[in-house]
Amino acid sequence: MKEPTDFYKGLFFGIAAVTALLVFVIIGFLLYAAAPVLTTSGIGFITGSVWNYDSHQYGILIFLVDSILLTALTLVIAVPFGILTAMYLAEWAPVWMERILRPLVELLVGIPSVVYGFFGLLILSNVFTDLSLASYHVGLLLTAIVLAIMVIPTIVALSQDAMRGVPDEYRDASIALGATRWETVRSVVIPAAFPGIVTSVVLAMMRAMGETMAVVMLLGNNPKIPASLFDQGYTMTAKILNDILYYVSFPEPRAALFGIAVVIFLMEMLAVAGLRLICSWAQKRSGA
Amino acid sequence: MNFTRKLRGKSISLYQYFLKIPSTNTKVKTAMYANMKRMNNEMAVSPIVATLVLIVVAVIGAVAVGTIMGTFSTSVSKQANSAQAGSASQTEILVAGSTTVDPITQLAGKLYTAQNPGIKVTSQAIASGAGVQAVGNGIADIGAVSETVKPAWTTQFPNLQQYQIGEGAIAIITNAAKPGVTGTLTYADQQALFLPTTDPNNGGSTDSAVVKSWGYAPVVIRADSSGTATTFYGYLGNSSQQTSGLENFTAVNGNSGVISAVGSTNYAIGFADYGDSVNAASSVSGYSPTIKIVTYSDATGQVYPAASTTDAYHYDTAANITANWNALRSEAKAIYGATVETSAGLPAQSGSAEKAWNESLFRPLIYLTNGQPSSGVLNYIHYVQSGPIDTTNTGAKEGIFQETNNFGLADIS
Repeated sequence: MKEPTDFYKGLFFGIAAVTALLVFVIIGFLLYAAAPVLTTSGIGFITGSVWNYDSHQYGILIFLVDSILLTALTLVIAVPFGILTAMYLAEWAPVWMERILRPLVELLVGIPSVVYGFFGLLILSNVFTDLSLASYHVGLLLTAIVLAIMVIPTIVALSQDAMRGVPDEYRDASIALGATRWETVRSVVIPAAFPGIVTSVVLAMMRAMGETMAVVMLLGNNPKIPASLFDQGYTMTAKILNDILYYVSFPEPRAALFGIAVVIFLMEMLAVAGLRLICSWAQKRSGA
Repeated sequence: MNFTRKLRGKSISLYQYFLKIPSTNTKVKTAMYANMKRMNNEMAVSPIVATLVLIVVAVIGAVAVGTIMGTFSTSVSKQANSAQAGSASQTEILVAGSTTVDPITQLAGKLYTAQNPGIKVTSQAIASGAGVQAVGNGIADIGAVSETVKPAWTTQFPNLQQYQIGEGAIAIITNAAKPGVTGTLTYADQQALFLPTTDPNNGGSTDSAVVKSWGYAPVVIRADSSGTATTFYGYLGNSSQQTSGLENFTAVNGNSGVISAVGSTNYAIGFADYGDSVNAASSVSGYSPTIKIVTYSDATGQVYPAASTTDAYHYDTAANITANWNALRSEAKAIYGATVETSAGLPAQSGSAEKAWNESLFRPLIYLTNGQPSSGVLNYIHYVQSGPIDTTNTGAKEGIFQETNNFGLADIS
């Protein structure tokens, strides 16, 4: 008899196609809006370091480097915390503790980023001031810490699911061969769960790179490359937010700000592709 | 895979078939049953869920398309809005722009709504420049700015109408607990701090009043298109705020952002609207002050803020201010028909107006409209210009400009 599932298959294909189409529409709109400045500036848009509306110079090098620096520092803080927490929750935590800890960690995802900005500004920054580590209490390290708190739940949730998805037979076999619990986790579970962990880090990186409100409040909006961990900077997302309300009516500045958005989008795509390559290379090396 | 079986001549589904066949091996049957149930569940999704998902995707798609179409047709919407502005009757008035004017708008809006029920005044505090764009593009009814209207704005929006509602002063502020300035800040110090100079330490001369902690003075400036910043940099000799060449600074949004940053950074120096600063600089409701208003001198050496009335740009005595204010309010009542409370029995409206301020650090607070405003909007603007009294205040009943530590039209002699 004819399967009744043909209709649903078509329906869901249609929904998936609409979603994919949305992505292309957004990319197309971004490129269309940014085209005037991107075509005139060319590669100088990325390599130039002068951003001046009056002299029609649009170079985002400083903002680009600051975004990369901030994201990298955020991941340096967040990834160890996140993966080690996920390892504990997946491997060592008793069920009752995991049931308490996991929802608490996931609650952090629901907090709006402007609240994180306030938290960093009013509470965490006083720690820096009291320690007298820098003149300004806002800066790169403070922003990275707040962003790390924001992305840790993503890493924990996805990494833990990836580790839990590793079949128990692998663990049993490893322990049967005489490995300790830690050796099992390090040599068997983590490599087997590697794609899931990489996915979680990629998602965390994308969130950190696109974060705006908290960065505007905490990084200092000083267009320079931070010379120390406590120095200020200016990311691409903060530049867009601070300037768009005033320059939205002027065609050229608006195109330039959309150009920044295009660069953010391209960076995220490149980073995703790069991390996936690393993942497949690591898997090939480990013979998986 | 065939999902039906025949049992005693009737077609039944596969898992029902497994339920009914006699089996002595209950474990096998349970396992088969579990497998069948799982496979059955995996094959179909509830149509209700599918429909909900489809609706959500369709809504998102429609919003995306609508946004795109709207953005590409800004010129059409501009024309439409300025044509409709004169005729529409308003129940909501949106004022967008300067953070300096925001406290005045909030207070005046509250009082206006109390007298004109059904009309709501909403204030969006972004920045002066953003306010001009908002009113020019028809997003807001009134654009609030805290600087002299730039020629570039009237070029961009030729129909811009200005309604000055008062004036505001700019104060130089520093951290209260650990001040960045000892004594009087000279004009040279101010230029060294805020203008790009060859001295990356923001410090100025060796005998300057600036406390150079960390080898430099932490400076806080504005990150948005601020009218306060434009006026302040004009006073220092620049056409606009410039950051290239300035080394150690933090840029924040809004007057309250500057006050918050200066108040929490040791030895920090910044500039903000006097009206917003004076509350943070005094003990209000038992909180100790976070900032301190700096004594500074201008290019001629005159020290501000001063109580003196002998310099070129000063304000009236308390008695004259009250008299002017009463006269203006009577005039407002006569001309605009605004409901104007009498000031009989109220304290003399003095305070901030008695101090003297450098003329360049004093800027008009202006409501802008794109074209002729509707009668509802114009009524509101006239109401604010008449300097209404805040009758809801539990303390002294002051005018809204006095209460927010700004200067109404009556205060300016």
